[in-house]
Parts: sequence; structure tokens; C-alpha cells
Amino acid sequence: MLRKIIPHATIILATMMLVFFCIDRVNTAMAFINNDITKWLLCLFSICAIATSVYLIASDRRRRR
Amino acid sequence: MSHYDNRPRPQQPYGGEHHGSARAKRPPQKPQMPTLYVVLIDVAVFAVALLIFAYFHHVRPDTLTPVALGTPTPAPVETAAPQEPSAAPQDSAQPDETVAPQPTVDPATLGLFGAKFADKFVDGEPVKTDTGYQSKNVNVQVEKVQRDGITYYVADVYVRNLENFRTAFANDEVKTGTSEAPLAIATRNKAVVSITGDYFGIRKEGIVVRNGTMYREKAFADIMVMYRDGSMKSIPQAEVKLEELKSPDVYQVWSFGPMLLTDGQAMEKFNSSVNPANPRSAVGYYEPGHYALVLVDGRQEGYSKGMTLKELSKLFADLGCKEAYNLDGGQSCTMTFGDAKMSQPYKGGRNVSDIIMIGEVEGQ
Repeated sequence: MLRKIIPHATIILATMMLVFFCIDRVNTAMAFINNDITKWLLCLFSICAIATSVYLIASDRRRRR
Repeated sequence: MSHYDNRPRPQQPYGGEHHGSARAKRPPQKPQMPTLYVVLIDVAVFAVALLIFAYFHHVRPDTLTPVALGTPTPAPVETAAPQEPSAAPQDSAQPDETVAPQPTVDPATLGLFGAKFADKFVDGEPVKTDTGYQSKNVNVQVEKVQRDGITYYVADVYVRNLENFRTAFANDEVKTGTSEAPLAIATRNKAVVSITGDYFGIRKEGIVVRNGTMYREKAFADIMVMYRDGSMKSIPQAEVKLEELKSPDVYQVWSFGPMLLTDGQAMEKFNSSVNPANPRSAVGYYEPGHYALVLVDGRQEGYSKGMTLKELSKLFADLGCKEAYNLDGGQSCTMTFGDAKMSQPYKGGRNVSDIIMIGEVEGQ
């Protein structure tokens, strides 16, 4: 189940980061990036990205054997 | 749901752990959800996630806890205005007419500038005009300037006592997630003149010290500090030291920025990405007791396009300010004078969490 959910979580979190980046350029004072919530989301995004990547690499290596 | 390798691999189960004879043992696969549904679900989850983020980031009301900054250092006691050197000895028995009346506010905590700017204040009833206000405590003269397609207002402010320079809050609450029209805040607090502040209530970050009380300690931008002796200093984000701000001598700290002057000189680069022409509000400092409130209208073709940070910086340098600081701009930008809007806010303006105001103090 997780292996199916995590890639979608990665896409959603990555899109959120892109949105924050764009609106932060327009309105820095709202601190869309420089705040605790975004920092935790970034941490979660990183974990999801690593998990997805590790699984993809492992899956690819198994397939090539 | 998605797969990482879309190439057809009918001989292997998902994941490819087995070889050869696995084909016969492979369990029947569930039918996949159509791709469009998968995308729509992702978009829906993304939208919900953004809404949840927005709620916790800037919508949810959150009362800020005041932290006492201790007992302030006694400010300089008001003295007579500097006298021209004279050969004749001063007669100490003669009453000095330049000494202002003793204020009723606590003179031990706030700077007193009555003697220094004695010619700026008048006794008796306040003198009010369309663009000016003069009383025994406050002198405000507002000038409207139109040039190069920009309309802006400069309020030249003298205060007898620093208590006349203060901040006021939406609904009289120091909290995030609450806001009120600047004019309503100004009217309720009997502001002579006001401009929008740093809108601290729209975020959870940024050091907040208001009227001598600290409400938030998280730094996130350049800050402007007003000390109890009436002086002001803008500090770059990288040089902000929280411990130095937890001082009883600190009267106000605004967190928005960027700072606009370095050693009284106009700047070329700023700690902000919002450089294009915009409505702006900003505060400038000449000397203790003498300040400038600047409000730039913008985003209104044919009336005012707004100012870039570079233009705003140059304006303060030309005014002769030593320090200047950009506050909440855009649609928030509003200057009030008396019980009316002085400026022409973009789309009528919007609610904010705080204003910087000049006003009388009861009992003063």
C-alpha cells in the first residue's frame, strides 16, 4: 500500500513546494516558505522522495537481474 | 495507481522478485483505476492539503502571549532647548519659557522631546487644518506629492512624548487571524495620522514588540527597532540578535522590511523580491521625536503606479532620514488623517492587523 501512496504524496508535496515558491516570490511577507509548517512539509517531502527513489532504484535493479 | 516501470512484463509478478515458473502462480491483478481518476484524486488531495496549510498558516486565530521586557532604563529628563551662547550669565531664578509643561505620563520610561521641539507644539486647543494638526503634544503636517505618475503622502511628525507614537491593533486584539479596516482601528484609537503597520497577524513568524511588550520572538526579515529614547534603527535579517531585543529599552519592533537606508544613504539592493512598483507604506526616522510616515498609492493607472523599493529608498534619503523601513504594502496601504482616509487605497484597501499611529494620550 505504502509503495503506491508514497509516489502520490511525493507529487502532491512537490507541487505544494512549487506553489509556495511562486507565491513567496510575490509576497515574501507572508512567509510561505520560511515557517515551521513548510519546514515540516519539506522534511516529509524529502522522506517521500528518498523512499520513492530508493524503491525505484531497487525495483529497477531487481528487474535487470 | 502508478507503477515505476511501465514496460510490459507479463512473465513477472509486480516487483520482479521471481523468475520463470512464477507466471503460473501469479495472482490475478485488480483492474487499474483510470488515469484520469488518479490525476483527479491527486489534485483533490493537493487542494485539500493547501487549504489545511492555509488554515494553520494564517487563518486560524492565535493569540500572541505578551512577554514583559523588564523595567525600562530611565529616559533623559526633558531639558530646556539649547540656548545660544551668551556673554551674560544665565539667571537660574528666572523661569525658562522654553521648558515645556510637565507631562502627566511616566517620564521615567519614555523620551521627552517637548523642549527640543518647543516651536512645533502649541498650548491650548489643537490647531487642525486639512493637512495638518498641531497641539501641545503632536505636530503632524501631511504633504501630498504627485510626480512621475506617482502619488504619495509624506507625514512629517513631531511628538512631545514617545507615547504619542504607538501601534494599535485590529479589534484591540494582539493575535493572528484577525483583521480590521485601518480607518476603523485609527478612528477607535483617535489617531491623528496613521499608516498600515507590518501586518504581523498574517503570519506566525517575525519579531513583534508593540508599545514596550514583546509578543513574538521568531525572526524572519529585516527589522526596525524603535527604542524608548525615541531613536530608531533598522537591522538586516542576518544581524538580528534576539537577546538584544529582549531589552526593556526596546519600545517597538516591526518585522516586514526591507530596510531602506544604510547610514542614511539610499540602497541599491534589498532583502526582498517584491521590487516592482507597488503601493507602499514606510516609516522614516530623522532624530528622536521627529519621524516621517510615507504612504505611496499605486496600481491605479492615471493616478499612481506605485514605487519600486529603489525609488522609495531614494525618497527617504532625499527627505534626510537616517533610517527608513518598508511596511505592509499593496492593497493594505492606507493613510488616515483624522477620521478619514487620506490616501486612495488600491481597490478600496483591505483589513489589516495593526497600524502605526500618532495620537494624543489621555491625561497627557
